[in-house]
Amino acid sequence: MQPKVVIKKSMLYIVQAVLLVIFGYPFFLLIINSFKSLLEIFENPVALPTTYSFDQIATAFENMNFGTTFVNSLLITVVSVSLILFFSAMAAHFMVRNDTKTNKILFFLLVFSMIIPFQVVMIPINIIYGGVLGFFQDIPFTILIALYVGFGSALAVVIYHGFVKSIPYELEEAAQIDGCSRIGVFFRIVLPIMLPTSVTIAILTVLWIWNDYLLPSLILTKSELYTMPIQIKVFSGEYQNDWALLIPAMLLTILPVIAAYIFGQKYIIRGVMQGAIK
Amino acid sequence: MKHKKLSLVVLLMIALVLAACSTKTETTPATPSEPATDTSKDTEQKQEELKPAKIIITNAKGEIAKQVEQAGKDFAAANPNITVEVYSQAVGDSLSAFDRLTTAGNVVTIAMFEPGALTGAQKGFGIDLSGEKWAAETTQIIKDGDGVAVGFPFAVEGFGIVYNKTVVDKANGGPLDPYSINTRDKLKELFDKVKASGVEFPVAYQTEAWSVGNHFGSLWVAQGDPAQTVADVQAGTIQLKDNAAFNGVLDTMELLASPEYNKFGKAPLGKYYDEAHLLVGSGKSAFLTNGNWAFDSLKATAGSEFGFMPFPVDNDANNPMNNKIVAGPTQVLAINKKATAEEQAAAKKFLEWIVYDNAGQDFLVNKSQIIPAFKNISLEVTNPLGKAVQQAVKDGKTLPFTTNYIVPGEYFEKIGPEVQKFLDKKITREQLAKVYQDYHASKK
Amino acid sequence: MVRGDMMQKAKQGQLIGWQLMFTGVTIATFLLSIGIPFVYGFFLSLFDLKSVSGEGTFAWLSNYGDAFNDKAYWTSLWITLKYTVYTVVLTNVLAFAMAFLVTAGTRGQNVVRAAIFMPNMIGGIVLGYIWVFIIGRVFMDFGESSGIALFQRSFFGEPELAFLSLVIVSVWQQSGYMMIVLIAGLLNVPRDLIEAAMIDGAGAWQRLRAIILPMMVPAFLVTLFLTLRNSFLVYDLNLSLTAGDPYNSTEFVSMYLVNVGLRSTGSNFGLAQAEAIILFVIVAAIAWAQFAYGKRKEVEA
Repeated sequence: MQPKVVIKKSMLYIVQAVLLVIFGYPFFLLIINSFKSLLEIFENPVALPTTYSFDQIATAFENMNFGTTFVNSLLITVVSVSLILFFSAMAAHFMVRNDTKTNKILFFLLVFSMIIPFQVVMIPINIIYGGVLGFFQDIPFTILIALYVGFGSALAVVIYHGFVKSIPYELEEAAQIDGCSRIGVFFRIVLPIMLPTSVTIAILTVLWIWNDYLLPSLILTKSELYTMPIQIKVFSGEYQNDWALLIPAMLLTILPVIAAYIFGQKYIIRGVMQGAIK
Repeated sequence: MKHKKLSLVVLLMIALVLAACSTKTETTPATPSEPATDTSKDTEQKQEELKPAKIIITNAKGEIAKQVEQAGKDFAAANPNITVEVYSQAVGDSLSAFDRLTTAGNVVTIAMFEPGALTGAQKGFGIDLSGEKWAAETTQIIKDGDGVAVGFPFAVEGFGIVYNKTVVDKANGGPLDPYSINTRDKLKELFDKVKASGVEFPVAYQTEAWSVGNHFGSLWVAQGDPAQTVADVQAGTIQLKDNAAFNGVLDTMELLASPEYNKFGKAPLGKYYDEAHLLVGSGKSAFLTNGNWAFDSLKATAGSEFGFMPFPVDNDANNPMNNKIVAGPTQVLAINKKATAEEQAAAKKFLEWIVYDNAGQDFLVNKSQIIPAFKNISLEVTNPLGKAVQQAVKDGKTLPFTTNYIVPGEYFEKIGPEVQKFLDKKITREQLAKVYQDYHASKK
Repeated sequence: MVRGDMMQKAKQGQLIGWQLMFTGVTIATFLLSIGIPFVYGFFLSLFDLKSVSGEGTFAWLSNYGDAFNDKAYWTSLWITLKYTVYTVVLTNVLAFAMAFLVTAGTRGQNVVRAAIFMPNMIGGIVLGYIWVFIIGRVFMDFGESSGIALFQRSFFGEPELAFLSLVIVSVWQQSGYMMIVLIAGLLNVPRDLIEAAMIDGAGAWQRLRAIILPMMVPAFLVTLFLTLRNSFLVYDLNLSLTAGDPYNSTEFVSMYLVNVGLRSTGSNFGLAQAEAIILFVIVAAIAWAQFAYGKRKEVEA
């Protein structure tokens, strides 16, 4: 190899190593400080723990009601995302194949809604569904999921819409001639072809709903209904930044996410790429 | 136009518009209906006891969230007809649990408020409690703006200069009577002594907006009758820029913040709450400003003992402000007028439970470490800062709880940041005095 | 003729049935989440409403007048704008540079790429507290041991540094995502075009300017849209990292609207809603400008 190339290559490696540190170090700190007592954390926040005690992690696990909180987050995310995928796929397919005036208006409205900031509908949602109709206390999860489906549909329909256009109509016609009903065509032909697109949308939507704070914090005011982000927010206030508890709590919160990321990394990054091109 | 009606009109209009687009819409789940009512309330069972009811409690003291929740469960277990829901406020959250619930249309049955709220924002919220049995056990029942006794005194608290006894006694060469530090010069002397004993920065001054705003930033109202003092400032007969007590408070704040003594003196603002308490708790510093609730944060490194000393405002050893700490009811429980009769009855029962039931007293004093305002409760808190407050109350060494005479929320929002600017030397003392003066004048 | 009419009617009825079946839920939830609240919000902004259960009084456009005179609102909008400019520029520049770095073909670049993207897996609330710890504790500890003056200052106590903290963390969080999007754009640049340019003797800079950047305009439009939106409407990170401290100097517009719009006392919901609608108009204007610019670029290309 030429010396110039070698220098260039090693420079590249050095810069990449620096990037690795910048983006990885905060998580490393979170791990090592989860094992330390408050005093140790304050004495030296970057030192490795002298003893590995799981006490803080266990206390945090218990105090933040980890099991319940995790299940709440999981339930809300899985149900919302499934509904978004299913109904948006149906809607997008129908809208492409029936290019009526109604569908044109609907598509425009959905695209338009993507630029509406949440804060614009926040107070009305709070007043109508919380205040006037009392849904927030009577059916908190249902209303939250319904709202998520509403907010998430726009992006999903737009992405599906672009994809369905690329499916040759002849395919569906052929199936219909073979005696497939309209519904049959959708379920047997269209839905399977859409799978990769669905993965893309699912990833974008999961990232959003799992981490969302503001909307659920308005609805889920009872501690047994908290999701992970709400729990961390409440936790940090309750323990006044008692880092010996807050750090392990945060570690517990992000562990499942990191685990999912390590396994699904390829799909997630591909999903983000596809989602952006749409 | 009535507001609820308006929302129905809008719903209708949207339905019409959509119909015009030749799209039939399914009825959305948002079909207007009456606010949902708890059907369990309608059970016709007649019992001698209370009718079934659900009470919603908002707890404003985030640090005892777990205890209040448990109390709710215990009370409900003892009263099978009553279900209890407890919502706690997260510490440092700018939105209160009460606001969140109320803006979402809930009827909070028992709300925990700061006493000032009853004369201000929540005037007319509560039902008259003067006829309750426990009213005879306390002198601290709080009246609302209309003079109705609506506030159940839930917690007595105090604040002042918190000090680490071990460190200070060592520097002093023997046990120190905290009330002997009754001038600013004596306080400064003590700082120097502690410094000489090897503590580089005797003070860890945490300057969060609530602390320098609603708490210590309101100390000046204790210079006379608090309500009268506030009224005088409002009327302009007291000009704060020339007021000795007001300036005295700021002088002492500056002393606490000075780089000579303060660990954070070089940059007096920041997220220091945790570090300050750890420093004083572990004896690396000796003084901070806070209230009895700070013990939870201090005990992170247990072993040391802690006490309170007055916050001196001048060098006159006879000034009462220099010889007393601030203490009084800080949180009251009020029962919502809008709750149903059953709910109100259940709520009253809960208040009684706290005062008379062993489990209730245990929850209040032992579990939550709250200094009770009721004569019949003989339990004592074990937390040393709480003990110090309880002792001060017994000895009559207390000033009124100054925060009760201002609007804490507004002080937190409007005054606190300005005091911070002053400590950060971004505005002058005159400018700060003007902010105070203008704020109070605007309340006319 | 008549029969044809009937057939058509029947067909149309059938179509409406299908329409409802396939798009009914989407329409219903859209109305629930956005349609109804949006229209209702406009009505609300014309009312003086002090409590949710109370009665509102019709106030014409006075809320909008009050909104224009609300200094705190415009201050928060202004600092949000400032923050947006810094964040958008820095994020895109960094993301672009990193997109090159991790596609250079070194071994292990996938690991680096994955690490850079990781912060996007975690929400603003948790990330904010992680950085409160890093900035509040680790930076200070570093300042004490190294003696570097900057790290001895209080990042959450000085408005400029608190602002800087927000910018740093936002860039740190978002640049990985944008990097991925830009890599997708980069992969769309035909290799033979670049090779042809190299044979023609074009330098690295010339290749970048003449081929790569123009080909990547669509990708940049996406990252620009996303970063603009994320930054201008940031809430979670703002809440957990600085919560507006010191003295409300970092209270961005979303947080401002939450704080005035969700208090049960002392707030006028109509005013808060009017301010939210003004925010919407600004966002819509920016989005429209971007859209128009993108269209023009597409036509040019």
